[in-house]
Amino acid sequence: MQAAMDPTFTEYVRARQQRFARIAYLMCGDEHRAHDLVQEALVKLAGRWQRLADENPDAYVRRILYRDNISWWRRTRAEVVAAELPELAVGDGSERIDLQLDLVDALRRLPSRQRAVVVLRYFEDLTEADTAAVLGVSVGTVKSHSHAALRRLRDDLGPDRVSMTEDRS
Amino acid sequence: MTNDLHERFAAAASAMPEVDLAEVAWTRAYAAHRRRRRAAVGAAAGVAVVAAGSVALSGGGGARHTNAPAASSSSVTRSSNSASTTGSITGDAPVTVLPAPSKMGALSWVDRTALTSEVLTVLAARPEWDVVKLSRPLSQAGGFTEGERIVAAYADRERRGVGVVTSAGRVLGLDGLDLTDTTDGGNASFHLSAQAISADGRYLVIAQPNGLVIVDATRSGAEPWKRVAIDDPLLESANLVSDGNVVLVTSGVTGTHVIDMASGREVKVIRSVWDAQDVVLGATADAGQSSQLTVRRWNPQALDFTPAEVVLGVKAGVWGLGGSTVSGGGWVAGLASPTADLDAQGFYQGVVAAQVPSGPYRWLLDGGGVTGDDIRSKGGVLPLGMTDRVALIWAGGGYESVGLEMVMTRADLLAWDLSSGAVSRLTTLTGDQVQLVVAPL
Repeated sequence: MQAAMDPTFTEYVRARQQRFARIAYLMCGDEHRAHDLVQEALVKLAGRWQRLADENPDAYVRRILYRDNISWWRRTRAEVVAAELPELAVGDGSERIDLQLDLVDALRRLPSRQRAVVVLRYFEDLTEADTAAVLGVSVGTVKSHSHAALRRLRDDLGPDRVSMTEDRS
Repeated sequence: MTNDLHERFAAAASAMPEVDLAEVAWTRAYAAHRRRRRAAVGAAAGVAVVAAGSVALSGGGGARHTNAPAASSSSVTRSSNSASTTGSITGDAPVTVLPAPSKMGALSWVDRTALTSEVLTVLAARPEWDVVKLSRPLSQAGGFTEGERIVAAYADRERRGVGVVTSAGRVLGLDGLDLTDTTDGGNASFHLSAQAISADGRYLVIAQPNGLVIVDATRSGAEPWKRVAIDDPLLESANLVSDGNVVLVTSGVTGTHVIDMASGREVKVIRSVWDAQDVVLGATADAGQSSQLTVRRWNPQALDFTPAEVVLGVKAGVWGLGGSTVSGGGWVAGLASPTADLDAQGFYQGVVAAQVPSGPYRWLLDGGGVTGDDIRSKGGVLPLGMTDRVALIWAGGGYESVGLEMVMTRADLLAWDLSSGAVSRLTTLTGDQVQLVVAPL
């Protein structure tokens, strides 16, 4: 590994870091922790960049994000000391913001694996097979987690708040 | 699922600010790479130094530690098999480094005949605990038996259930107890607090939104608990202090509620102290920089915490603390983030334990590393309890393939000898992931 930053790494990270931050946020529900998760994943990626650059760095980063986030015991004091309550906008658009907050809250309530499955499937638009590969699980497990997660999101958010009429294969 | 949900996910995440991480990621990775190379080059010389100052622990291949002289800077050497590492932290703190998850089997078993703590003795009675499988619903078990005490409790997040391990070695699921997630207003959680069990094993306390659940092992029947209402929806932790006479129920937003156990009434609300317990460990420094450790103590007369006082007069190799504090036998410990120089050597987490008020202190660093497949999750090494000579450590076992699924299926409970630094295996948690807390050791 060289001290000078590999320009291909820089280019890759700057193209993808925002996307990864959003994935991490949906997986963990906390902005600061999301950036922390992404930074840790990118440090690991940088250490393997020569080998992974021509393979599938996206899959590697997603996998690290998932693995670092999956454990409930990742919780640190700084992370759980409560932030201020979210302020909801008023007037036009407030209902939509409310729903977004509800969605993130509902995501947080899902078990880690279910949350990762729905984020990868429905935010990242990965196929079931690709989701299974990232998480190191079977396609059947992805299906079952996806089904359970959607059912719970529907229960938490209400069927009229999130329409779930179509299942991607 | 629909495109509609995709759009909602995108909208929910759209507020994430962009932070340029390329340079910091590369710099950190290169620093770690350089440190590893230096460590490898210096390994031969390191062996001679280590041999003079260290004590091999628990048989071949186990974790090692040293009481090496104070170093001018933090220096820890990782051996090629990650099961034998020694070094010192600035301030002369002896260090023990845990093997990577795949090499935990190299640690020897604890000498069970030498255990004096009932909690440790009960847990060590089985080499493995799959508490979910072993649990029997309390309603079917006929309740607690006379004299039976709670030695440990677990939270099963998947099922939103809580169970207990008793002094009789029974695992009882509290099947009639309806529990919900706690929330800080944004983050939901389902967990037990570090000091949730009373020293006599009679009580288990559980924070709930707008209340507190008190499980009483001396009560008979299928539902030996009561609920105490507290007007606060954001309660997150409940810990017993003052020999079990008081419960501190904390909301990070609104404060710490002081509940008198005898009356079940709130007697005071103080400024919020996260996971408030008898002793709360803190650190003073900015991110990455070495800090001093501080403690705040519960004052039963004032019904409040003392101001933070410095535990050690030296820099501790710690820049931040996570999780809960555990204390006992004059020791206090917490999950710690090592300073940047240790992080660059691949040690990104560990447990720091200090004898209050003035030391000594020592480190248990996670040798799982930061790259590769043999890593521990953040927070994967946690202190669960302390005596005057042993800390009970929870060490996540990394990730394993179970069939086609990769899940964390095991965690080792370790006895960390605070005098010698020796680490040995007490028992292993297998099966579904649960959070475990123990009664005071």
